[in-house]
Amino acid sequence: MLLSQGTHLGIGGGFCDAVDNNKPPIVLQLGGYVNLQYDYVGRNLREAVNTLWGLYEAVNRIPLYVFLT
Amino acid sequence: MELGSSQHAGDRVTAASEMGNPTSSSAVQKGKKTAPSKKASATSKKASAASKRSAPTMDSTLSVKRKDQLDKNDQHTRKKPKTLDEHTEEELLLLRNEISQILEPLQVQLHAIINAFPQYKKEPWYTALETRRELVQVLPSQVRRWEEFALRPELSSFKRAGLPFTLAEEDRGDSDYKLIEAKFIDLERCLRDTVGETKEPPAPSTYCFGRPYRRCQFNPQMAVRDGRTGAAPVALELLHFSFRTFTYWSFINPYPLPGSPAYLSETREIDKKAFIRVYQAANQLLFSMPQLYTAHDDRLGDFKKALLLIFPENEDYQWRTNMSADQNFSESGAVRYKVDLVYRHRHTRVPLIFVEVKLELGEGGNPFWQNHRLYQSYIKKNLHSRHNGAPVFLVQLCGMTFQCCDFYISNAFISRNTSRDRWGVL
Repeated sequence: MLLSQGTHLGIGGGFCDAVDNNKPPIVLQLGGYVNLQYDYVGRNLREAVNTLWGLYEAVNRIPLYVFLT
Repeated sequence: MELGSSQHAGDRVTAASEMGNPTSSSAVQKGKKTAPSKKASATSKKASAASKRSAPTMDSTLSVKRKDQLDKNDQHTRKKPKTLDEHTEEELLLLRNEISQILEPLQVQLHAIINAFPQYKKEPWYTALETRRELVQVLPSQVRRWEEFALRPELSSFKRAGLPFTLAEEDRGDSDYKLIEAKFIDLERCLRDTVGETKEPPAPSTYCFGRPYRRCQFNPQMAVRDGRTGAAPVALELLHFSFRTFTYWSFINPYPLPGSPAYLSETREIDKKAFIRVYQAANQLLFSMPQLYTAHDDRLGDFKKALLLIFPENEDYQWRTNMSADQNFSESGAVRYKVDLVYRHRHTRVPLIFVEVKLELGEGGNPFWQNHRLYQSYIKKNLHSRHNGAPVFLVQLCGMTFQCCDFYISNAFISRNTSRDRWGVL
């Protein structure tokens, strides 16, 4: 397998569903990697914008208490 | 797409050594072609004779040639473990650095006791401590695998060495006895902590390489549920609202073309200014990230500049570079490991985003795996954060170099280090 050349941006998430110390956390990739390089059709730019917009919405639009409590 | 599954620092080394290696198969073939021409040339008879001495089978029969070719191929295949060694050397160096850091408090304690009580030089416990200090100093260079570290006799209990508090009452008779005993209790505690640390998974910078990652994933106590081993974990979208928000917005078109059906049926309200900033950030990333960077910090700095457009620092949130992602109320001290970039709440220090950047693809391991371990160490220290699940976004960026698993360039076989195991041949 040969992946496309480029700098790759990936977004993942970590979540711990156990209060005690016994269960390991869940760490998963949220979607695939985005190739951060201009291409002819603009697909990489569109994917980068969508990914970063998703991150913006997830972090900025959610009230802080969701993360704190 | 598991980008990091084949990211080994040795991949590039393998490829580079293959392409520049004069003993590669192309070079061998060239050698075979040039040898008869040398023989035909009258002026190069001496050189031919010399070459015969050095490589007597070159211009002999076909069968001998094949034998020679096989030898050269053997030489070629014998090069592979060399690159494997080069690959492991990097891991070994990181492992030894980590072990040195772990042993540092123990060395300080040993040094302090030895220097504080020089009057007991002839006592057996004193000489035992001196011996132990010498051995602990060279221990990092002796360890080759993380598992053997905890089992080393240098880390065994000091009580075996005839310590002063094991002496009979009549032999004590010294005003320093209580002080020495207290120092030895400190030393034992320090030793227990050191041994305890060896039972932890390795540091993130070591963990992110293939071998330590696989080893930890096969150990249920160290594993991170990432869907690679054991039962598949529950999807993150089902566990926390923030992940669902991310996947929702990243998989739809956030700003459809005006006049398009999606635009006409659009009822969601988009913050246009924020969207323009996100677009600018993406543009900036697509311009800057494909550049070649000489230093990791340069790439990290440019990445941070783009992220600041989307997540500017304000009175509530801040970005921190090369710092542990820790909360104020950690009972047992701050997390030892540092994240390249962490976006966190200014007052409570609750992290929201971990960013891990690699200079080039395959250099220094897989940044996603590194984020695994950083997250794991964060929630292990901050048990309070677990009450809401400690949701954190993990952003990883890896550089520009080709990622290769198994493929051919011309007639040189570029391979991952595991190819020998997988195919049995090269």
